[in-house]
Amino acid sequence: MSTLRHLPAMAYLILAYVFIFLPVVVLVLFSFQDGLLPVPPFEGPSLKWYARLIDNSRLVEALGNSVLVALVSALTATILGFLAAYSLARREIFLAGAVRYLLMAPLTVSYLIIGMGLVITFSMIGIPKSLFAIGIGHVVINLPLCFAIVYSQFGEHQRNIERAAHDLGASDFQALVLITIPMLQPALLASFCLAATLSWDEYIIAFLLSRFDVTLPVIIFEMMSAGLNPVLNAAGTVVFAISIVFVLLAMVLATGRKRSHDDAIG
Amino acid sequence: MTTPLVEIKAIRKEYGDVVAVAGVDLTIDAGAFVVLLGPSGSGKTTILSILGGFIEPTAGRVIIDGQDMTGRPPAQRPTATVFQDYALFPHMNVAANVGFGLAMHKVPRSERKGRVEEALELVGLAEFGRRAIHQLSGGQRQRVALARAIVVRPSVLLLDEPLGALDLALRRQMQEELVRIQKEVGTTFIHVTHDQEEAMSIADKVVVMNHGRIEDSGSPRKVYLRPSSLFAANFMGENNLIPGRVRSREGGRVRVETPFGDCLLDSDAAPDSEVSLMVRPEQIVAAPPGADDDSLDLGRAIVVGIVFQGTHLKVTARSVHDAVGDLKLTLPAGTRLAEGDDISAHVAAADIVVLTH
Repeated sequence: MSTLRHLPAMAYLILAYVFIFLPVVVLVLFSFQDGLLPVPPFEGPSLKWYARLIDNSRLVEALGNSVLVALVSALTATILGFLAAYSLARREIFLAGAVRYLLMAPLTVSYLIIGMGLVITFSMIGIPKSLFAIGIGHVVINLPLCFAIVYSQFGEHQRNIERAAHDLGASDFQALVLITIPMLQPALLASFCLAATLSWDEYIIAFLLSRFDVTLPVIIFEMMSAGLNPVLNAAGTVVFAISIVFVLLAMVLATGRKRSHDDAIG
Repeated sequence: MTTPLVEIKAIRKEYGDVVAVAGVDLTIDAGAFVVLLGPSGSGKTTILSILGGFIEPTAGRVIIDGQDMTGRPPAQRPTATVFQDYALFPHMNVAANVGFGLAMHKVPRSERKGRVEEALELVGLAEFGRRAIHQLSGGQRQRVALARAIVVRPSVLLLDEPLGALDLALRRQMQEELVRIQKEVGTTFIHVTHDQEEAMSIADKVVVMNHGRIEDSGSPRKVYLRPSSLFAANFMGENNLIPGRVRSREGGRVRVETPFGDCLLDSDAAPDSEVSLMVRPEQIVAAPPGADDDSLDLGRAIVVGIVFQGTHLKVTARSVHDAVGDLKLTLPAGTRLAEGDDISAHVAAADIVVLTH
């Protein structure tokens, strides 16, 4: 009886998940295709496209570039976002409201516009197209998000906790390092992982700001214009796998660090 | 003559046009358990925050241990605060929370451990050192917050409505514990609450506040039985207010005209001023006065409501004098009484408090 009643809901749920995950499943499945084209029928499992991927030095190099840009730009955006959130939440700032809106405003501008603006600006001030330039671009697009995530965690309760630290004799720096940052650690990790993930598969800005050193999305796009190729499926699967690693890492870090703090203080 | 531990001198705090504290002077002796009592917005928490150094007063000075504390940050004051929301460090275990202040004060690690254990034992959490904060109940968190503040041996412990979030039974239990702990450590406690029962059961000295001013202060007994303002009288508990007018002064006393006739009462109210005579419900006796009794006859009244409260009866009786209205009485639980009964009420003159308007 109850199973029958839940049938439409179950069917809807299954359809929704198929809609979301089928493209990924197809991508991953045909990266193991034992044939020349990543299209049905599936001709049996093979790792030969992964072998070709590893042999392709441009792809491997781009993969390394992507990881580097993602980690460094996410770290930078998280630190800058935290500092902005900390001062806006904890200090008296002239026109704080306006400063906050200006910080968030880039969220409403498309990556294309930001990318074009950066190309023009960088050529004006003489920063060449490079991984460094891409990194700056990714900090620009991720800073508003990092700021918003961290700022949302600065509440009155957290403020009282910092007051308690000061009350017990902590200096501003001690309160920041021993209390505020560890207390906001989940938000900081979330901010870092989101920024890293967004940088990891960002294409437009990376395309506009790169010349010799390129990131993985740029090279995948370039190779796709030459037609479908199971190597690209393999590359896509690696991209997907690394994204999952970011997520798992965040979960492990968020739950596994409690002990070390207690020992540091107690 | 000993100098007081804490002196608050002409403290004012304004937020734009809003006056949170409108000129408060207060002295607190070492070792006292002082309760700042008042409704929300009365300025009691602002006073506590000014003592702790979290808020700068607009004017006035705070002196603790003979030293001017005005303008000093919290870290450099001999105060420690128990926050209303406890404000425990969520990423540290119980022992690390309690040990934090000692670490900040550069107490050697070897000494810290013993003092943390001592403090946890004091609040009844001896075995809880390794627990995480999220594993504790509300009452246990409260105790950790207390231990964390006491362990640094402050001159003054500031408690900001620390029992507000606890349920009634636990609150009563913690009140007793606070009194025990205060006696044991001998530290001066300044405790903020809006619960007058709580104030009476824990305080050596109650300071009643309203609209940023001190309305009354003294022992719980004094503030309850001999309040010096109408607000304090109402805030400390139920009462009966009988309108009156001062006819004349006779020695140190005043002759007051009331709906029940004249009576001679202790007061320094000016002649011809309108006053209220305050009588607590339990001070009214439901029997005719004795012949030579120095008491005020409140006349006849008809019982209109009886509420059985276990230890006593709460009785409402309508006075035959229109100007008086309903009288509130607290009578022994065994009193045989029914609605519609006639009672004859009187009150000892010594119990009546004359309050000016």
